[in-house]
Amino acid sequence: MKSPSFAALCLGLLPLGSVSPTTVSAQTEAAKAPAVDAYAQSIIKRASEYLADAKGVGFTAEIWEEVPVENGPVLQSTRTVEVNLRRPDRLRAEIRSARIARTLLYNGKSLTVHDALAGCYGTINTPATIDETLDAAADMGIEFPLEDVLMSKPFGDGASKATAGQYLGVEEVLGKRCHHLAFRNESFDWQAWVDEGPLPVLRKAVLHFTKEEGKPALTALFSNWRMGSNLPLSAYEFTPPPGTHKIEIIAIKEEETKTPETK
Amino acid sequence: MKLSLHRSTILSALGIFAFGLIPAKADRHRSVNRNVNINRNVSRNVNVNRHVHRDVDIDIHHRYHHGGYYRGGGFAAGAAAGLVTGAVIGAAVAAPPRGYTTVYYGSRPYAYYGGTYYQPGSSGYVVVAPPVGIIVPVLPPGCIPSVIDGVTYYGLNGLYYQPVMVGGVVQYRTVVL
Repeated sequence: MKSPSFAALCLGLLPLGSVSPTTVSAQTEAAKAPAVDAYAQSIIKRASEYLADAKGVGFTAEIWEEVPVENGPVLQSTRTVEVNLRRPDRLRAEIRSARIARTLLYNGKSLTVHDALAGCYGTINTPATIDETLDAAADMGIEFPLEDVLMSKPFGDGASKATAGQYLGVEEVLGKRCHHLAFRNESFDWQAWVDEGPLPVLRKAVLHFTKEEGKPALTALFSNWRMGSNLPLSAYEFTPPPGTHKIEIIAIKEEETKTPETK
Repeated sequence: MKLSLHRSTILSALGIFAFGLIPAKADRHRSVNRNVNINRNVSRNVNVNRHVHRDVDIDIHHRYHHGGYYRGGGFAAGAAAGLVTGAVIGAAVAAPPRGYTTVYYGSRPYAYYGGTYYQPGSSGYVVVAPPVGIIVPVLPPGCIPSVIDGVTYYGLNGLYYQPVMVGGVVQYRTVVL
């Protein structure tokens, strides 16, 4: 059962959608109000700055991602990501699932992608910072998981470009009390759960890709935050395990992401 | 199924709070937002947008390649690989096997399944020889590795594949040895 306030809110919202003359002033009032709630904005900004200020950061994320399937149910894939970074120029992400064992290592000069299951790795030269390297890697079709958390301005751009945003109160995420925030951007909706305690870390994030068919969702649960932790620099260097082959990294071509033509 | 029920329950509850309100406001501000995004440089900085989208694309790509449990042929959980290995070039089929992958050479699509390549024919599909340099997500079953000058190649029926990394994922390119 939902609380009475729920129903009251519903009723309160109804006039917004109607066009009766009595609601004109309410609509004008709503139009003047900022689309992005200031409190929601301030919480996400604080979380972003807290993350940006840490010179060393580590965390674990469990990622669930929906995949719409033709003639089938929406599937969900799962992977775990272990991230360590040192600002501004060291980054390590280990991605694991039953069928993925991939490590991305950036040492300030180059990025190595190691696929342990295939026993192969490839290396590309990269720019001098994490931000630039994320872009350079993306241009090659290589994506770091949860990049928005890794940037020097974590999810700050997304928040500042939001067209709508709401503060939704306190909720628990795996036993931690969190501020629940929701934002709408041009091509995706996103929600964030930011720890209510003195350390405003992200505990959960959900994205819905509203421009994609089926509006698939990506959910990430964050744990084991290690703010200020610094792995030794050697942890960001790649040493090929015996029997590992070096292979070429090829950029993804446009055609490969196109829908096949039908003849 | 269970998941979607669960989700819709949560979202319908949430919807009253959040998504009942947000769409109305978003509509009002859509034009503003669009103006911002027209500028390429600006939109490049919208990291949530750009990166997450690509992340999803790549990972879907990745799962297709490693999972092999669904693809253009529709939902094909558990489709056995290798059923059509050894199909004769020029043979006509009604459709590629369920669970095939669409691979491209330039802008030309091929349906790929278990080491066999298909292209649309006069009626249905025809088994064709792959072009040299086409990249496929998984090796055909039964490939035999051989090392030449320190490079590992995988061979089957006179066709050789070399591992390359595309989108951060290991895939296989046909080569001439």
